[in-house]
Order: sequence, then structure tokens, then C-alpha cells
Amino acid sequence: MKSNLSILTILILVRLKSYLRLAGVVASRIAVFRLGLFLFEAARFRLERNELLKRPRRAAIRLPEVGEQTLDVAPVMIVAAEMSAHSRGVDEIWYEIATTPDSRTIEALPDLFALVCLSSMAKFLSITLREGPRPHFESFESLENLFERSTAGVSRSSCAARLLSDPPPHSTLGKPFYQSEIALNDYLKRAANGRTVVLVAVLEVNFDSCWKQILHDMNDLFEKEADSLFMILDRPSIPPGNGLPMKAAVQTLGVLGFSGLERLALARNVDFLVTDRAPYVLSALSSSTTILVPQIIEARDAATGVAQMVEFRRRHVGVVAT
Amino acid sequence: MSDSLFGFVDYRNFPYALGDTITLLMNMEVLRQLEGKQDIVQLILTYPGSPSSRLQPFINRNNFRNFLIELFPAFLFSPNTSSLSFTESRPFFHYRLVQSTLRRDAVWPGIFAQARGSMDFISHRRINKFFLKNGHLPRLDAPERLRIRAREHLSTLFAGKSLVTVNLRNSKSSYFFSAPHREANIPEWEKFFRLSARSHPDVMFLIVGSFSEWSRSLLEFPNVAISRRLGLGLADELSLLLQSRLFMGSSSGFSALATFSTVPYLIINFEPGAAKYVGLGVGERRYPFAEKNQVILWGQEQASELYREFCEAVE
Repeated sequence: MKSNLSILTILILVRLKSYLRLAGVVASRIAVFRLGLFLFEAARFRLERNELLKRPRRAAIRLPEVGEQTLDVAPVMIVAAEMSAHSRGVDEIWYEIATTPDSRTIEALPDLFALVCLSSMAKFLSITLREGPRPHFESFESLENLFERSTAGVSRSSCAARLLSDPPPHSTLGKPFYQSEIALNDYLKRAANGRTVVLVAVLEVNFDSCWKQILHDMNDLFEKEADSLFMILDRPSIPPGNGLPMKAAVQTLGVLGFSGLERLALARNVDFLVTDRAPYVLSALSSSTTILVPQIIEARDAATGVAQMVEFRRRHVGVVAT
Repeated sequence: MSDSLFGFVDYRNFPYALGDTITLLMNMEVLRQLEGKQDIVQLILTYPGSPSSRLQPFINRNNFRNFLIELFPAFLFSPNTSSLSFTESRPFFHYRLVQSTLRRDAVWPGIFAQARGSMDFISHRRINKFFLKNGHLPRLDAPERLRIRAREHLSTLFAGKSLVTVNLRNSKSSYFFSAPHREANIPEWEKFFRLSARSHPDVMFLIVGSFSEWSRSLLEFPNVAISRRLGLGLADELSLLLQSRLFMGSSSGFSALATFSTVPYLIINFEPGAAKYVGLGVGERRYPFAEKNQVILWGQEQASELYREFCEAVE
């Protein structure tokens, strides 16, 4: 009995050893296969780059350093670049942002990164975090630059005007982020409870007495039209409610902790969007949300803005600039 | 040969996790010093056809960008990273990997390690060895602009308060519940906040971490603030952690940043199973490279223990 057990143990050990050897062989073959794959793909990319093989047409775009409003300019540039790329038969866009640790761009990078992630043609994003020579992984000079002229003159209002007069033909910033959208839709359904949802997103630097007046008037408007729910996207430095006498059906979303991406998702899942912010406009362009962009920054006329919005709501037209 | 250390991170072999990302950056900082290089250049691959490792099967082509976007600010906390590139093109990633290898650049992980899939991104082995030999470590830090913004937040949102950042792992209320033994014991923390409110009215506890994870019961505490309710994101949270008087929290992502900083900390409920990866004996109170006021606690937290350790740390 004892000798049988010993023989069995030896047999198991021998079998185990052969299995281990086999596993080792398989693992080393997988490693060799992977190494071969690396070399093959690298060689193919090199040949494509030297135009010895047909390659996707790549174009480059440098996003500008961030000023107060660049977060609004950058997404417009992304969409404009994609529109331009489509018309030129470009397949991929490679993005670059150059900044320094003390620049305001650093603060905006998470949002810029999210926007590039959503761009349907983005294949590459390079972020240079220092001054001086750029240790690039790729020479951007070898790629066609989609913006020949300086981007310094690209203003938010000019970009917004261009977009509104000539909306992009395809769904930009349209890569899916289902998880957020499913959760948001669930939230919106419960919050709206059958009411029409109006999302208000105001650029912080523009949040002056004029906008306060608009919100105030909207608040009054709500009292007359009980079928609506106004959602206001606050930014950290704007206290919830902004000191306004908020009614129950006006929600300030700043306290709900939505991420930048979720805020963009919100814009394309509500009924109406009232905003002066291009990222929200862009996000909503690929949805059925009706967008209102009051040009009150120039007009400084809150009453007209709200009156136009009421008129707009009645007409239910598409994208408009009032 | 370049003056840079080239880091190649392929998310098919690497987890989408804050703690692991911080440890990855720390490993790169150590390697940069070992190799005598000036800066770090990182190339990160998220290949949509296979965007995650086998350890995170719930991350797929439809949601991997959410995870990457959430994690992105952490990559800014490596002070010597001069260039950060993200690509979804596998051929380009391999082209640069092969090119850097042929040029004899300092590449990490090397091409053979990438082929074998045997990369040590997340252990402290290299970090501990470096410390034992040199007696110091490179430290992770926020970029200048984020430091300025954190100071602004300290003087506005928390004016007159002494800030203690707290991270309570509470993944059961998030989409992806995992490792229940590492969850924070919220009722004990509530008792602790109550005790501290009486004895340390000048201290404000800032709960950091994802919006879904903070316990709604904490809203009733006047000495507790929730960072995501204040509109702060991960970049702000990490910057504030580095400027806070003390960090307290579960052994999780945020504690990794505290570990590699000079901020005093109390890391709670350290996982015995993870001890071997970080070169700790089970029950040891300090990492080999920790400073005097950087303490690890083992086992589920109790309010009395939290309070005692907290008092010791802040006094």
C-alpha cells in the first residue's frame, strides 16, 4: 500500500513537471509571438510613415495655451479641426498641448483631456509639461497642420458663431461614455418627473449681474410655467443658488459633484440647453437637445434674453443664437 | 542615446487604479535617478480592442475612457515628467518601443519584459532598495499652478481651519464593488468625527474620493466637508492632500500619494496580503522610508484607536 502511494506520488510529480515544462514552453512561445508582433507593427508603422505603404492620412493640431476662456475655445477648435479634416480626407488627428507647471493650462488639462478623449478622430495626444526642447514621440512638423494661421485670434464668440451658422455634419465629441449617460438619464428621469428640463451653463467669468438677472427672471418664469425644471450648473466659486430666492424646481447642480464629462453628458440629455459655453453646445449638437445661446454678453440686456428664450421655447426651433 | 527615461505604459498590462498609478510614477522617478536621466517621457497606450487587463474585466471598449479621464490628473504629479502622450494606436506604441530600444535609450519596462508580460509596476521593491542605498527618495508633488490653487482653496474654503484630508474606501456604493475587507468602517469614523469635533474644533476633515463613495451620513457633521460637493476634482484633492496637516484613510489610492510625500499620515486597515509587495512585515508601523509622523495601522479601525492616533499626530 505504502509503495503504491510512493509510486503514485512520483507519477504525479513527473506529470506535474511535464505540465510545468509545457506551460513554460507555451509562455515563452507567447512571448516570442508578442515580440514578433511588436517588430511587425513597428516595421509597418515605419513603412507607412515613409509612405512606402498606404497609410491613414494624419493631421496635427496644437491646442492653445489656456487663458480665461480657452476651455471654451479648445473644443471649438477640436470640432473645427474635425470638420476641416473631413473635407480634406484626413483620417486621424494628432493633438498636442504645450504648457508649463505654472500655467493655468495645467488647471484645465483634465477637462481638455476629456474633450480630446471624446473627439471621434483623435488618435494621439501629446502634452508637453516643460519649456525648452520638446522630447516628442512624434514630429508634429511631419503632419499636416490643420490650422495654418495662428490660433491667437480665435475667439469664443467667433467660433460659436461659426458653429451655429454651420453646424458640423457628423457627430463630433461623440465617442461613447455609456456608463455616465445611463446613470445620468436615470437621475434626470427621477428629477424631472415628467417636466421639461432646461439646463443652464454659464461661464464663470461672465457670471455677472446680467446673468443673475436672467436667472432671477427665469425663476419668475418658472412660477408661471410649472411644467419646467431649471437645472443650473454652478462652478465651485459660485455658491449654490447665487443668493437668489430659488424655487423648488430650480436645482443647482454644483453641489451634486458631477464631473466635467458628466456635465457634458447632461447637456445632451436634457430638453433645452441655455448656455454661453461652447463645450456644452458641442456636446449637445450630436443630440436632440434644443440649444439656446443668448448673446447677452454683448447686449447686456437680461430682459431681452429671457423674452427671447420664452419665444424660443414656444417655437421649438433647432439651434439658435438670440 | 537620449537624456530622458522613456516609460511605456500599456493598459493591457496595467490596472486603472489611483494607487497603482502613483506607485508607477514613483518607480519611474526612482529609475530616472538610477539611470542619471534628466526627465521622464511617458507614452501610454489604451488600445480600444483590448483596453484593460484580465484583472479588470468590467473595463471594456465602451467605458475605458471614463476610467482614464478620472485617473488622468494623477499623471501630473510626477515632477520630472516633461512629456506625457496618450495613444490608441498600437502600431505607433510598438514603433516607439522598438525605436527607443534600438537607440539604446533608457526604456522602462523594456521590450522583453513587455513581451513576457512580466512587469513590476506596482511593488516597492525598487523603491525600498533605492532608499536603503541612498538614504532618500525622490518625492511626488503637484505642479506649481495646482499648488497655488490648493493654497487659494485653503484660504477661502477652509479659512481659519486646520485641514485633515480623509479618504474612506466605500466601494460598495460605487459601480464596482471589490475587496470588501478593505472597506472603511463608517460608523467608527462617525464616532471619531464626533469626538474630534469636541476636542479639536479648529480641525476640518475633508473627505476626498469619488462622488459615489462618500457616505451621506457624514453630511450631519459640521467638522466634515466633502470635496466633490465643493466641485473639487482629483487634481485639487491630491494637491490639497499634499498641503494638509495630516492625511488619514484607508489603504487605497490616496494613501499611496501620502506614502511618497512628506505629509504626516495615518494609513488605516493595511492589507496583510499586500505587505510582501511593499517590503513590510505584518504589524510594522512604518515603511522603511517613512518619516516619524507617518504611521500605518493594521486591522479594522476603531474610533478610540483613530482618536488616540489622531491626537498624537496633531499635537
